[in-house]
Amino acid sequence: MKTIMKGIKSREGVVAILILVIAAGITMVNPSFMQWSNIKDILMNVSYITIASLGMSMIIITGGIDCSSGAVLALLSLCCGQLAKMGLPLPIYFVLVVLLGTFTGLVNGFIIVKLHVPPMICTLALYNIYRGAILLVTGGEWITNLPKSFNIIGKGDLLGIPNSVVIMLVVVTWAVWFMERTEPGRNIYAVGSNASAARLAGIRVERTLIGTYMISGGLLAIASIVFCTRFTTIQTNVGENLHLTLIAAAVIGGTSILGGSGKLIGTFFGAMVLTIIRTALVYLKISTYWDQALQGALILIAILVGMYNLHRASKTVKGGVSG
Amino acid sequence: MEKVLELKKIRKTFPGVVALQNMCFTLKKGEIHAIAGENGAGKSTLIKVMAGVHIPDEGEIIVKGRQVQFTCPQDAITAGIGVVHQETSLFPDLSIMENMFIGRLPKKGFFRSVDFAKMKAEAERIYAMLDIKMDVIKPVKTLGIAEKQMLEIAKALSQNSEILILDEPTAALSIREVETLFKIIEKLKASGVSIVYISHRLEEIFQIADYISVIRDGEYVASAPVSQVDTAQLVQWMVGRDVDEFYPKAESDIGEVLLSVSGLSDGSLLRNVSFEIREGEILGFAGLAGAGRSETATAVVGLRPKITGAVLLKGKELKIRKYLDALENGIVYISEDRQRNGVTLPMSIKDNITLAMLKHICRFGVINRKKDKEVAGSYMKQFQIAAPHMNFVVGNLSGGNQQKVSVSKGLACNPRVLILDEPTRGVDVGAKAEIHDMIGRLAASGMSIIMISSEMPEVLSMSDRVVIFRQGAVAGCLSREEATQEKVLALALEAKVTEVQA
Repeated sequence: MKTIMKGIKSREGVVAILILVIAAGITMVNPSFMQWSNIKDILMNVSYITIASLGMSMIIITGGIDCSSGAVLALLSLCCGQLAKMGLPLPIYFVLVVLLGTFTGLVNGFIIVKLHVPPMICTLALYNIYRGAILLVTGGEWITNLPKSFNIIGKGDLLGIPNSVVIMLVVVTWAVWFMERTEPGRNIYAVGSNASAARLAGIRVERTLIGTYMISGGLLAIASIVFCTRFTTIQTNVGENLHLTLIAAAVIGGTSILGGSGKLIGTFFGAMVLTIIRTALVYLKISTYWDQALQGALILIAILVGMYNLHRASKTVKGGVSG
Repeated sequence: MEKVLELKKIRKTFPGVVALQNMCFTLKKGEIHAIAGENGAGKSTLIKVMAGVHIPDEGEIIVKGRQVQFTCPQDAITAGIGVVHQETSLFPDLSIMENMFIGRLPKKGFFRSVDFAKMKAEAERIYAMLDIKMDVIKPVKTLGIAEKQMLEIAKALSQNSEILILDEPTAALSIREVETLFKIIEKLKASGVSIVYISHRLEEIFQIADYISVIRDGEYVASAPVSQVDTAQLVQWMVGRDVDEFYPKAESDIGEVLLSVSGLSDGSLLRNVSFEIREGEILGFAGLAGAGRSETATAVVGLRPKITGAVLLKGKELKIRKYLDALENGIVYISEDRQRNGVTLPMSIKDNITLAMLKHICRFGVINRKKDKEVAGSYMKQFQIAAPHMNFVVGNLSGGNQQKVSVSKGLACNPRVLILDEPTRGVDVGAKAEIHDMIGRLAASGMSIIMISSEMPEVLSMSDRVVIFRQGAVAGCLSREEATQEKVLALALEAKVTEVQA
């Protein structure tokens, strides 16, 4: 009981309750919201955002940020489609896409860590480079005529649960375990909260940072596969403003924008909040044009709450436990 | 001679500490007056009172015969007191002249635009007065440390300062640069500026000052014309008290030589530093701030680049390029800057304690949670870290408890050599005694401990031997029996460097 109470009081708990409250509120206005088909739809929509935002969260915990995610998602989706069209077996091109995603993370990490470019600038520049490269190579043309097997992940299901949702749950479980229970996970927190103390604890700071970007790239690749295999055509302009959604999910879920703290289960809940609100607009017959403004407002509120807590915590330090 | 500045019975307290008490000081026109004292004697507080940074609780400040009350630094500047702080506070991208007049740039015309011509002329006039030949439109980032220091002096003069306070102006300067600076100081003196000169280096005081005042424990001790005192007299004034047996003496069996460092140089500060430490021994590093104690420690563990020098552990030479190499050989360094380098504030006590030794309780990178808790729990108990539970965030602990966490983290790595840099700085008396007790117990268990401390009584009572540093070199090494406050301070201050193998 005590642990349950503690869980409810934590940031993640608050966000989880928020999800239930929003869902209950919408159901009261429009009971069809609680239909399984709709819930399934929401879960499928949230799956790729959740997977990608876990990586974003890890990066934010290190004190960095990734603004290139949208372009990388487009790039990886197009590669996935192209490789499928070339007739490669499904497992092979999935693996290739994940490797490619990890490589884009390596590029980010290398430029940021080894060449000392601020993360925001580096990833914004790469966003444009990737977008430009996509247009140059494809000429803006969509990828069509994909083989039937292409949609196994995106459209198929396992015992009635969509494959993408299964993948999401597996990835969330892995990511939470990785950050909480493994050495590299704890190193990520340490590097993000105090890099010089981490170095003095014998942690390889640069390796940890680059590794985080690579893991995030790999997660983005899985997100891309989950995302693109839902469609029969792949457009070149997918993933516009994706990074904002991912940052929003992380921050709403309690990841400190200053780095050093945050729980990945919170990020999952954060992604849920965003997707439910987006769907709710439809059910509440509110213009979807509100979506972007609402998302921005949520980021701001989440950061304000975080800053308020930080401010309060720094005040209690002086009068903290003495001895 | 006319008195330009007089401080009478100044008292300044901070919560829980009396920083200055019964402080008197008199500065005459055209005089260079040195202030000397140990680390923490109250020199910086005194300067800050003169500069209007601290407002004294009691006492009078009299400038040119008129009693004044400074409420902010600007008041002191208006009264003609300029301070050149140890660390320069300049804007690297602005030019020399802009730095000189920042905050009060000359303006002209209806739009109050900056009058660059006037500013340049003014700046050039001041530089000419100081005999400095330099283009005043050069950006400050192209200047060396000495040139920046001179700019700070020029800046103070441009505010029509008649009293100039120089706080450790030579700390970062080379010998040649010091000569240039002294020429400028002499020139200022000739033009009637009075100078308060603070320095650790007694030979400089003898060279340049006319008068010297010594302060100790926040109180005025004595003053005299420099020509009438010698080093021995000054040291006696600066120490003036007996070492009280406040700290526990560590009883331990001293074994074989464990770590020996020889010929350590870093090309900037450290020159040919050598010392060795035995098993179960506590080796104290004494010396004034900036004498190279922390620098030596960080160079040994690979946190600071070194040019020459061998580090031998049990007679075997170690190749230490980065800190991890030291850690893997059982040499642990615990930084003096607890909040920056010691603990990770947002993480829990448990996560902090096991951070550096995590790989030993991991299997394929997966943390063994039981061992994780065991290790953290045992240190929490051993050091009586006052917190409700081990998942308590370190940022919410008091300074003393944070220090215990920081030390626990180092100890969890099972070190053979433990280097503690100012282990009791900023912790209260109770925690201090506990930390001393712990250091004693660790040495008794056979660990070699290097303790860097600026508190003389702490060094003297804890250490089996004391290595004294001066200006980046080892000035001497004294055994517990030989070490007295006078001897240590004399070695730390004296001009002649006698290379003693430690």
